[in-house]
Amino acid sequence: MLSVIEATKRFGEHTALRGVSLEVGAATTTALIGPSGCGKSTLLRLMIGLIEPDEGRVEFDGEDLSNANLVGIRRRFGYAIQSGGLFPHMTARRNVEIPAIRAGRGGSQLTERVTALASMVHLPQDALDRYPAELSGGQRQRVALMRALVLDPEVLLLDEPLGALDPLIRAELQTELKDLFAELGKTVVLVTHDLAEAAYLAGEDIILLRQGVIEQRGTFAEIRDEPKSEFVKAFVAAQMQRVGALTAGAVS
Amino acid sequence: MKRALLIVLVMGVVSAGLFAQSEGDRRVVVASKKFTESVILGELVTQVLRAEGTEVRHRRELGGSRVLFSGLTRGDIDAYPEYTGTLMGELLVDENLRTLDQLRTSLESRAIRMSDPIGFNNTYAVGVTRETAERLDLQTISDLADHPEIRMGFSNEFMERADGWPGLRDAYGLENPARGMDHDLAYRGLQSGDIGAMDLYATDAEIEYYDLVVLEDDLGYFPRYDAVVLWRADLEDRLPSAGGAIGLLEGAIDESAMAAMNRLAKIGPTNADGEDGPRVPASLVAQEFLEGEFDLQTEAFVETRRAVLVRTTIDHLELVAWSMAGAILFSIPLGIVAAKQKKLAQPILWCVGILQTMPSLALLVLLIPAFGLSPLTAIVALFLYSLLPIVRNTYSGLTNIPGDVTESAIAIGLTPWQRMKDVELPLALPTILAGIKTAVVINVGTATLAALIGVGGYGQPILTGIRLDDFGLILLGAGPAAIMAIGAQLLFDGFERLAVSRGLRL
Repeated sequence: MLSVIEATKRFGEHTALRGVSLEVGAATTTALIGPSGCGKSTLLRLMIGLIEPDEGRVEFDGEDLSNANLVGIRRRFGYAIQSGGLFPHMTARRNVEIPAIRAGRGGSQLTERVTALASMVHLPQDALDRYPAELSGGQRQRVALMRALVLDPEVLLLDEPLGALDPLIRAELQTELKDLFAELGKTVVLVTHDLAEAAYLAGEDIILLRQGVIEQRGTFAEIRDEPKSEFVKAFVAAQMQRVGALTAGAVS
Repeated sequence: MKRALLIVLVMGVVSAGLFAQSEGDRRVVVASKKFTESVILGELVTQVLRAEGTEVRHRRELGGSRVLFSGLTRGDIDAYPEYTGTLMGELLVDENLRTLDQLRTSLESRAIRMSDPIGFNNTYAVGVTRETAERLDLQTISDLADHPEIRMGFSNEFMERADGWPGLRDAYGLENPARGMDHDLAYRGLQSGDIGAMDLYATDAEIEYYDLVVLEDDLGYFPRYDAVVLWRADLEDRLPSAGGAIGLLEGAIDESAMAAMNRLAKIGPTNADGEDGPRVPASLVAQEFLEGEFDLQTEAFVETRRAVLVRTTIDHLELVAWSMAGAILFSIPLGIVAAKQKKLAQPILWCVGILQTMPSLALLVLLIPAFGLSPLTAIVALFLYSLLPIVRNTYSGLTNIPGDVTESAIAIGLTPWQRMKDVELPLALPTILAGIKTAVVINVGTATLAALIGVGGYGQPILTGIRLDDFGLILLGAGPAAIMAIGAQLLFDGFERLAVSRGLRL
């Protein structure tokens, strides 16, 4: 449903992506993982047209992304980033509502939807009328998630959605996210630098990137047990201890 | 959006009405320069024309010969007093005019008429105290050559002008030491004996007051500054007797008569106890002269300070309000363009920055050919001076929005217009308002310069106060200007509380 075809992206001298191709199917959860600077965030930003590839293209639902259709396509996507990216001058409620209002889907149904989304992401109703500066980091992340979901998107793109949180809140939200993905049945692409998180949330489809190239794609088990290169092996080994802790609980 | 358009439209209509009114108002307009003698002469011309039964307005204290001469040429004013030396040596210097007849011919070709000299020659002169003159038997400037020990204190302009001290020294072979000093301080230096001689204008009120002796320019070095009246030829179409009425003043005022009038206006009459003052308003000085000299009864107006305050407040508010409204409506879009079009950012910021460096009088003089001696000239100048803070702050407010916020706005599917309206402008608003507040303070202060082209405002009492050395009058302009600047800031502070989201103040 979402394809990246032979995409190359350069920032000055630095090449962030080198001819990357991948396809993401409907109702699957995919994790993009790799060390800093591997190109995982660039790839995600390419998918929603925040940046244009120098070579290659991005296709959604059989249509190439172009300036003509971007606004429409973005309204079929939900997008949330590490710091939340909330608008500081709007209340949490307004932050959630604004994409819907500007897409012409306001009204009383929207109010109901915001209430439903708040309980879905476990945000207290009274937090809705506060400004981002008055919310905790975890609450901000939940509001960002609500905003990404308000238009009932077909695809959810999350860039380090839990990166800015302290470990306890992070663990709690990971559990909630996993339940949420299962409940919504949407296509999800998420970027993380943490293999444990990737394994937990997207154990069936992990894409490991290195220096702008896809190094290996597979299930968590495949990446762990059949690394295609020394790099994958080293990357997995470095992160294994934490993965063990998490997957032990999940598998049992 | 529709509302903004409507506001622009209404403003356009109202301002068109405003200027049409001042344009259609074809009363006779007399003007004068910003020193007392010119104001008195302007008042004399005003009153003799008024005696012909026409309505005459006197625009006092305009900022310089160039301003007045262009105003006369354009038709913003109908008549003003000038000096032949200024016309030949400054305004028409390129034409190399030598005689009054040549000058008159040159002016005629511009449809400007010139009266015969009024009777006094207000040229530079060199003065000493009576005590010095008698002790050393000084009568002419040549006599100074025999006393190289006499120290000279000259106004800075006179020190530097080629036709000032350097030329005078060469012409008379003087070897006296000379230094530049403030003109008013030179009078005191002369009294205390720190200096022995100073430069004067031949009709300075202080000559009589300090009992100075003017040394004769026996070599005829200084050019003549005969006072004359200039008027537009077409004034006589509207008022055929204008030439004759002004002609009454020809040859009527000699140096001592002019100096006496200057003294009444600047220092005041001396009473029986030998005390000076109070000063007599220039209009009454002129009225008294016309009655005494020609038995002519004329109308003279003296404004109370309260009336001055009300009038100048209205003028000042008008200048500030229109120029600020224009600057805000123009600068914010310009700042947006600079923020959105990276290539245009620097050129735009440079241009509005350069405007800011233009000296205000120079800018006014540049604008007069286009807009005349009208409020519009002042409004355009103020508008230009108000651009930089608003454009710059709009630009930096928009470019300093955190990247994740801008990206989120794009990613959630807002159109560029929605992003600007919903996210970028509200976030930049505190910065933009800070720019507007800076601009309005600059604007209120700079608007005092409007008085230089005779369109009123708080600058007028300030100019009069400086001219008469009257601190109270200076305060009458400077005080309300300060209050207006603070008031305007409070107004925008209030707007900020209403318009800026609470979320940005947490």
